[in-house]
Amino acid sequence: MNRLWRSRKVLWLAVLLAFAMIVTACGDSDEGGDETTAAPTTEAPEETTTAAPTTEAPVEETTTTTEPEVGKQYGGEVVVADDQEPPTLNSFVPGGDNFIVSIVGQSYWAGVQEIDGFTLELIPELVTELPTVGNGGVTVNDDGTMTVNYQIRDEAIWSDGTPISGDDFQFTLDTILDPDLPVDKTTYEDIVSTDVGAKTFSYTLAQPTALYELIFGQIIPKHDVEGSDFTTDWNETMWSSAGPFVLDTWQKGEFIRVVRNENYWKVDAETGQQLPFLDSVVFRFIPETESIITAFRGREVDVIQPPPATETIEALQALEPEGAIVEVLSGPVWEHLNFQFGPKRFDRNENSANENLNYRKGVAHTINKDLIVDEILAGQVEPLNSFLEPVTPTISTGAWSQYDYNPTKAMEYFELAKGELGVDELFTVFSTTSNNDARVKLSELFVNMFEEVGVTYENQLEDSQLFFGETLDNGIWDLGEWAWVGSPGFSGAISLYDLFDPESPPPDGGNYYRWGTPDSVAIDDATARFAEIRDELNTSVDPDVLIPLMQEGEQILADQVVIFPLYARLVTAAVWGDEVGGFKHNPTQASHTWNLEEWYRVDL
Amino acid sequence: MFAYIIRRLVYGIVTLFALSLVVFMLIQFSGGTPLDRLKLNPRMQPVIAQLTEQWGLDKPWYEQYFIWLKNFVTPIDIPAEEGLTVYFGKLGVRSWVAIAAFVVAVGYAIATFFVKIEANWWRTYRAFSILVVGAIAFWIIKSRVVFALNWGESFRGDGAVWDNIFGAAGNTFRLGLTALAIALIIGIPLGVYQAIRQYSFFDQLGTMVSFITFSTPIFIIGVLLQLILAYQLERWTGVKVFYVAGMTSSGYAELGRGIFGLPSLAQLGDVIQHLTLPAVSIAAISMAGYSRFQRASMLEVMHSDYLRTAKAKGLPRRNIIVKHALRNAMIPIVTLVSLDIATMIGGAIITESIFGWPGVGRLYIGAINAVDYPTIMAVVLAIGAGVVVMNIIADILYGVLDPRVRYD
Amino acid sequence: MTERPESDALVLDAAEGISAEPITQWDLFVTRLRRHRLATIAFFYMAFIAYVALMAPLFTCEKNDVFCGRQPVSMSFVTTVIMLIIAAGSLYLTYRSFRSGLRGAGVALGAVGLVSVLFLVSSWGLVDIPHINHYADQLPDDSGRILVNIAPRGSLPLGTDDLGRDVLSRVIHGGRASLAVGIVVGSLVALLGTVVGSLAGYYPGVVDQSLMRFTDLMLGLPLLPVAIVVGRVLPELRFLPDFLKQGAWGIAVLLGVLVWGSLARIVRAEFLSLREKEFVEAARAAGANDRRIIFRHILPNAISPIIVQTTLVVGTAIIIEAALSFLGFGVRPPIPTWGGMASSGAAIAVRGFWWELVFSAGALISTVLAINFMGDGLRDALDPTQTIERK
Repeated sequence: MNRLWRSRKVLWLAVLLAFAMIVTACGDSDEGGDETTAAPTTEAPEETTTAAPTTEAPVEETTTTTEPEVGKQYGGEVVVADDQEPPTLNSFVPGGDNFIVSIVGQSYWAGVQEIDGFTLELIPELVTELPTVGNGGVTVNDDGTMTVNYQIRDEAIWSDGTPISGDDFQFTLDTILDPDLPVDKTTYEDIVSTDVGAKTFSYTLAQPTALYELIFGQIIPKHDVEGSDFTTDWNETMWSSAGPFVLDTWQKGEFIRVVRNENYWKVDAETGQQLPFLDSVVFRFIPETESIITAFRGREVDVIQPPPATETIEALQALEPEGAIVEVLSGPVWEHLNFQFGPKRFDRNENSANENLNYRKGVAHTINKDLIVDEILAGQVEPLNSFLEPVTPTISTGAWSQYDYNPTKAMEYFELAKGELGVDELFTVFSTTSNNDARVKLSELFVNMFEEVGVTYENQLEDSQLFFGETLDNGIWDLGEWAWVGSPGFSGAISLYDLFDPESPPPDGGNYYRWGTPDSVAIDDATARFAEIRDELNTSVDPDVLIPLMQEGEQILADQVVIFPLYARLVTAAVWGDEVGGFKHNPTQASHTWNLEEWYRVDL
Repeated sequence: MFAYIIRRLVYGIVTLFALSLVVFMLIQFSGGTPLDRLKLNPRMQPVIAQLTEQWGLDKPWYEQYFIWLKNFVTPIDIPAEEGLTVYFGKLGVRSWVAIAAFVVAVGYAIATFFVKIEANWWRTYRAFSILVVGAIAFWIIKSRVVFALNWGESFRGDGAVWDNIFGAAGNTFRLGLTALAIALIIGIPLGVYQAIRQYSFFDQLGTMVSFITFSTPIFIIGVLLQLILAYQLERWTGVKVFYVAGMTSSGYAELGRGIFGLPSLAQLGDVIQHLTLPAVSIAAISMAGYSRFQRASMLEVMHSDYLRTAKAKGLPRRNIIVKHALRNAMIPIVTLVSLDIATMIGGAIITESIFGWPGVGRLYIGAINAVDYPTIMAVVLAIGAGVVVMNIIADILYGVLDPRVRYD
Repeated sequence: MTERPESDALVLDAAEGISAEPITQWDLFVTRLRRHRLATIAFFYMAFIAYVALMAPLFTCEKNDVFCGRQPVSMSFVTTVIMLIIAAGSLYLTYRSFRSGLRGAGVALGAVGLVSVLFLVSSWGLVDIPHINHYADQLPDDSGRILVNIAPRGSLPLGTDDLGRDVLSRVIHGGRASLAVGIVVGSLVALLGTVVGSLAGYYPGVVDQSLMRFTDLMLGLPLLPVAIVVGRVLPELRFLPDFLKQGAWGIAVLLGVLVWGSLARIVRAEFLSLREKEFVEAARAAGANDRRIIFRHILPNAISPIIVQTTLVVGTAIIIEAALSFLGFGVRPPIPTWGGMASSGAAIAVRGFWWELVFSAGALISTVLAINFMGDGLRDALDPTQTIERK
């Protein structure tokens, strides 16, 4: 009996011990290969514990220590939360186009240009100034080619101390043009020759194009990457940083921590202080939006960029008295109504009247954009009057402002359309994705608007998989609604014109509307002229030529009501203003971390 | 018995094969491809074409399947310099302890099978040592030291599928085992007590609560725990008791290390603050199941003849319950628990996506959304293999614990 | 609530009373079931849920439309009236059976009627209203805005959700998905499980071996991961007819096909033991063919485990459907389901708008609870060897 009891105790002890062991063994161990260390090189990275940067700015350092109120404080950590984790840190491999990769990438990427969060204009980063025709950086040669010259900043160096040189630019070009690398090679593949210097780089394009503006946005360090396997070696580690931070740890599934780049070349424009201010930044991955907001409310995280649902914005704005700063901006993603001109539209609506211009104008007058913006965006921004407005407002003429909300006028147009078509009743079938709350709400609002003007209206919403698959590919819709993303600069605006190019139907082109494409009902002078404009836009870099052409194209699209821009999606970001300073949200793909080097802790 | 295990394993492999075929065909016929994400941008057409060829998506589906299948069972050559030598160089104290424990456990497990002691506890012990050895072996495999299969590269660009799955599996097991422990520690005594005090108020209440818990979907439990115990509790008390997401806080590493590289108390506390809610939400349903089951099996034993004999002999009540009733009533629950582990992994898919737990479930949901089929296939098969293995273990355990069972 | 042990003799006495009618198996069943108070309540609760879901168009109204939804009124009206009559009839018959022990045809008619009506409803309800504007309750005030997140109040007993839709309407309509899943899964499981189990149990050898290996295979599938994959690709599968792609039908069939394994095993075990019983031997000696033996002699004796197991599987299936919808792989929005509503309700509950989450979750939990109680009660009532006090 006694023996048994003793043994039983031993048994339970063993079981408990075994369990404790298993539980500790599970999860990520800290010694093993689960964690990624920053330096792929053999030398161990030096411990970086100093709060202030070392040699470059001794004067500023003393200033900050003696008079903290003059400059910004050094030190501290900021936690940035996002609902995704980057699959890779290499933006040139599949998965690298994920938005979160560029959010994290802002801490170590650098390129020719960056997008200023205040003006949304392109500003130089690694180069002294952005080349244009005006400043002589871009020259159109006699043989019809175009040469672009970059002057690299003298002070620009990689985090390991190597200067950033023209060789790195050449290496970046060679890497991108590697036929085995599946990346967008547009524009790069038109480069016919290059000229490499120590602090200069120039290349010649086969023909003039404004698309040069956006290339070389990220430079790859030749001395790091050369000789390695580009597609596999850089997924979990960063190459030498040209930005303010270097990788410290990546705890898979949880966070990425970056620490100060001791060799960062940039100084603060206002105070002349050496950048960055922060010791470290943590990118924390929390998959559920609710959890992100809860974590922000509990000050577990300092900066968030949640999906801009009205509820979310209101919930965040309620925290403003406690010190939160909530930035709600209109983003680069523009939602638009559009008509299908291809033959498959009859599969959706056998009475489709899309070919009739008066019908389309009637629809344009039916839509109450102000109500839509009120309902869907909580009235935070103005509705769009042109697809150019979100990112290139200076070029746009707001061509769609001719169509105000006016049911009476709409009904007049519809009467005209009925007469021309010889029908008694007009039918509209509206399709969009059903997974998106804003679009579901939109479809609900349309019900009343179309009812008011006497058009028989039906919603046929679809799962986004289906809508962006079969429906869009084949043009099986009557009145549709989805969004495109714009990007800044002339190049960004020009690429939007490709979407309406009658010469590029899907799948190789983006003209899903089939406006003027060979199988379309809409082939007329307008489509012909638009095709010309589009071709001219792609062979010029002179703003004096480009702007009038763009405005003419915009006017054609508006007059023909090919599409009807509704609103730009909001982007929102929130920061604890009593903790973090220097934050400015950037609605473009540059993301809210675009000026990470200028962030500082207010509460130190 | 070995013939029986072999036969079960063969059936298991056939099941997994059929499973892989069905899932592969479903993904193929759905028309969605991992490149759909890029499709709307006309400029990406060349990239799509290139990736389609690179990933072999243009081949007929059966060819793709066989390529996948061949790779799936092919081990990766781990070069010597990446294998044990390098790994041992990087080992900390904790790993050495674990490896030593592994060696001891394997030796011990083998030894136990040669030692025959006619006692129930010995059988239990033997069974547990199998589990422990299995768990440690799993941990070694996941570190990619000795062995890895060519499960391909994820289409989302986050590296080798093998590494991703075993990296995430460790986290899932941390969650699952904690949940299991909670469920067992609370559920079984609850069931025993209910059986002893049958029809008491406590028994009725327990039954009612079990029924309600059992009928509540796990996601509702999870969401409510988040809302009440994390969010509202913090609002009322002003103290952060539980976290709603993640495994550790971002400042975890700064919380200090304990002796021998073990986590410090502060770190342990941080882990508990993160672990509690997801573990409880998984445990709740299992707990209800265990207590019901334990109650029923206890009642059955208590109504049996030999217990009546024991009572008639005038043995003390405590003795009867602990020695005669409980020990026999525990046998069926071992089987139930083994089967439940597989179910728990399924339940973890939901819990992990609610609590942002970086485990297999979250990996799976991400892969599903991106049509990343190397990962989808690997996760489904890993979970399927888990079900098969746990079923076999359940059968073996049952036989080990109950000598009346014979395998045919 | 406390139930004292009671012997079967007492139960029989109670059933018999002073009437001279002979006691049948059905009487016994009803008596036992009625002793199980929770199960009885659960039964009527389920009947209520089914009735409400059935009558959803009557309860959920929208402006400009008498019978809710913008579908043609005549269709909605006629269907509703027919269903009302059938439902009332079958409910009445079921009630009568409970009261007076009405046997045979009446009971069968009641049960079949109820099931077929529920079938009709779920198909009609889910195929016919894939789009939001058929049932969304917009509440335009003077400004024409949609009123979102309105707390429960007189005219809106359960409030509105973040898109301004009436939560009550959506809870009622959401019940249809769960009901469809329950009915389809129940029928499929009962059918497949019984057929496979009885064939395997009655014909030993090759048939038994091959069918049971197949059953093992089905049981070896990891349910949730497979269901998620299928749920994800379901809307895109080109070879499927439309009604399976949208709504709860596809999910229901999927779950039904996946979960019959455990029932097949139980039926097989039941058949194995019954096959050797004397009354089967006697029937065989009397020259009965296989079909007669299976259908007339063995199956009726195996019916209770089939009913009980099916009930329990239905509860599980409803939970899985809700979980799939919660994760976004089940019934796609905007079709309302309890799981989907819990998902979107959780998002706004953080801000204090608790009603969508609470009411959808409450409906889901109470329904599954009712089904489980029913299963429990049925188990007690159908098993003559079990004494009634054991639960």
